[in-house]
Amino acid sequence: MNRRLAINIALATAAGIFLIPSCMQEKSKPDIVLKNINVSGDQQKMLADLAEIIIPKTSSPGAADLSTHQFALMMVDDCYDPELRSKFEKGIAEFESLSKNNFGNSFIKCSGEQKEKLINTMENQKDAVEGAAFFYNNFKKLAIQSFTSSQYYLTKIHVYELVPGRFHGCVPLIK
Amino acid sequence: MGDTINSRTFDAIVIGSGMSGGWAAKELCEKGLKTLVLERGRDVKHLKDYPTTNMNPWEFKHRGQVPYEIVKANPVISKCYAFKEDAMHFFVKDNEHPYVQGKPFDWIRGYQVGGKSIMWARQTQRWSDFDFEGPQRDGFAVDWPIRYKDVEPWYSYVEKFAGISGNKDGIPNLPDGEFLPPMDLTCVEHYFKDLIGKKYKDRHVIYARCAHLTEPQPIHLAQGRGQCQKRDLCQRGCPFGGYYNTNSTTIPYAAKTGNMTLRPFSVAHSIIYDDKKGKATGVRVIDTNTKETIDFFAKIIFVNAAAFNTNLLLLHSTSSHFPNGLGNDNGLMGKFAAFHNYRARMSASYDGFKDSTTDGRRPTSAYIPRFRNVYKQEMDFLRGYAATFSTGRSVVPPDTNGFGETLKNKLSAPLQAGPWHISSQMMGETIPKETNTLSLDKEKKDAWGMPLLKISIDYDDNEDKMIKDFFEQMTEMYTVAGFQEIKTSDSKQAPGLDIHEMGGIRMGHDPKTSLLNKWNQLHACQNVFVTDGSCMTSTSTQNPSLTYMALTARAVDYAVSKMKRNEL
Repeated sequence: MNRRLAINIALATAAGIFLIPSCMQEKSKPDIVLKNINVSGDQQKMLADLAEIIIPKTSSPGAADLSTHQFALMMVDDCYDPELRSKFEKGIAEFESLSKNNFGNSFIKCSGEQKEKLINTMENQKDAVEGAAFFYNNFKKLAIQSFTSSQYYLTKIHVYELVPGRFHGCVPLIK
Repeated sequence: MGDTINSRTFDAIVIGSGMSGGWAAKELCEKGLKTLVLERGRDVKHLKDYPTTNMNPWEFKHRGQVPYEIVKANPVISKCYAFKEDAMHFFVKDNEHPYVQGKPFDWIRGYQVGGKSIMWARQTQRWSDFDFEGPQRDGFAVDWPIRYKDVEPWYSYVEKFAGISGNKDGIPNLPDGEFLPPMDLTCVEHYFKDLIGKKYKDRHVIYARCAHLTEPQPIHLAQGRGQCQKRDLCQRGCPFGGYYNTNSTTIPYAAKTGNMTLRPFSVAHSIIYDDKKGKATGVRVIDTNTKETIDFFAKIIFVNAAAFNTNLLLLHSTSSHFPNGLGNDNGLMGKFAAFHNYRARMSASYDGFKDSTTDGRRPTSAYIPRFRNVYKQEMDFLRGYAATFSTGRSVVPPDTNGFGETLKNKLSAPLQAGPWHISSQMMGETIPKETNTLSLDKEKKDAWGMPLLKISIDYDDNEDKMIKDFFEQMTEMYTVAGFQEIKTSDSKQAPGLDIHEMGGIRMGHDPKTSLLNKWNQLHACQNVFVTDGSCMTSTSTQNPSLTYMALTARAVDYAVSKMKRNEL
């Protein structure tokens, strides 16, 4: 979907009129089916992009490898209470609005520099209880969880032992 | 064999297959009695029916968290510490099995073969005469009709079979048992133990006794169980049989005699009483799948439906002779119910032992036996409390500021050990009171037409005073030890989350003031034995399961010897 069209849709929606026939909407298909929150295919693409920025592929797997944005959405959808779900949902839209207002582009189309700038603004609002920063903080927390609870992390970085077979109450601390 | 009265007649019926019912089944079957074991829930076979037991953290869809819709639909069970994604299938959902809260009470249940023995916390401290003599000395409830010497051999008997780890500490109010080696204490626990032992002559910090095979004996290997592998995932069911549950021990032992018929999906509706014979003749059962009512018959009946459901069942077992419930001539059935006070917790940190840590996991903790009001009444409250004591090195949470490779590097850096974290939970004795009651709701019924149990149980100021003392004494001991950041917290949780509900069908000498005699027999209907938590005259501070097991084995021994002499 080109930008002009997107703006048209936004304007039309804002005016309460929806003139574009549905066959013309080249909307992306959602990656996961959600029961409780409404996150469009486009928004999911944005979340995938954001997740990869937070947890990029390096020598270890990144967000795409870990299905991080799908995990985050599933957790919000299944485990958040309705108030938090709704704040999260609204926060996504506000995050996108910030991107458009500041850079004239949806997040996914912003330059790397612009994206970092927006994320840094979010990073400075740790206590946000709603809005774009609330969404970002929660999404990041879930992205971190997706990484630190992944098989890779728990077998290659900080090894989880299903069967320790031992308990020693007092051993030297290896620093 | 068709469905005849004959095909529905056994020597014995056991109602319930949990912690105590499993023992009744094993002992009755091993003594040669054809035994029907009724279980209201599904069957759970050891190993086969532990679906999550070998799952790694990343294999849980919600990484262990319970989805919101389930929490919302089940507000009571969701409060239970073990109701998590890995074990929630073993707990009763609120909406499927409603009950009436006359006063707030969080009733935590597990309806399946094995009952709550699958998810229990496995703490197994013996009672002493300081507990059995409590009501008489302090003037509450009624005198226990038994003393430690009556139960002592049966503690040994069940401990050897179950496998209990512990240390012989020689503490008069916490008798030693048949112990496998204890699990390790941490550096801080050793330090605290030595310090408290020197500073207070009557206070001890010990290895908690728990039902784990630290060194399996031939009897445990014969059960197909192996050494505890310190997974600390016991609530899922153990692939090694490292801890004691009914499913890996008593039920298969009952089965291998060829004398057990196990009938899951069978809600006990009532115990059938024959006025002419003056005894119970069987149990009316509702098949939960077909909703059909079926009568089963036997010479003796063991009631092990779990404390409060046993109250419900007996109150519901009415006849012209017992219009208020089986054996309830004195009207005391359902009264004097009690529990353990688990509201109070302590936490602290310790800056010492910086060069040391723990390695592996430990499915238990250290334990501080009761030291208040032991030899004489000395406080402004009755009885006392025991406490858990647990320590471990905390981990400094990684800095999660930023994003990208920097963030990943920080998350992947070696973990930094923080100060030692210290925590304790109080386990307080509560006083059974006539006003703490269980009754049948007059209108509301469950899906099988059984009346709902109405639970009206509350704290009183004895609990408040005890909590205050616990905070003061633990703060003093923590301070002596140089612990820092000492915090107290009173969860104010409703009774029930302790999962130690007891009483309502108490034991006693006198049929006028108790329901059961010293052999756990209903005074007024002597071929019915009640050996689960409902029989408890008082609660003490110890986790009660071990005592239920011992009382059950003891009662079966008595019942069968009476039967053999045709005296039942």
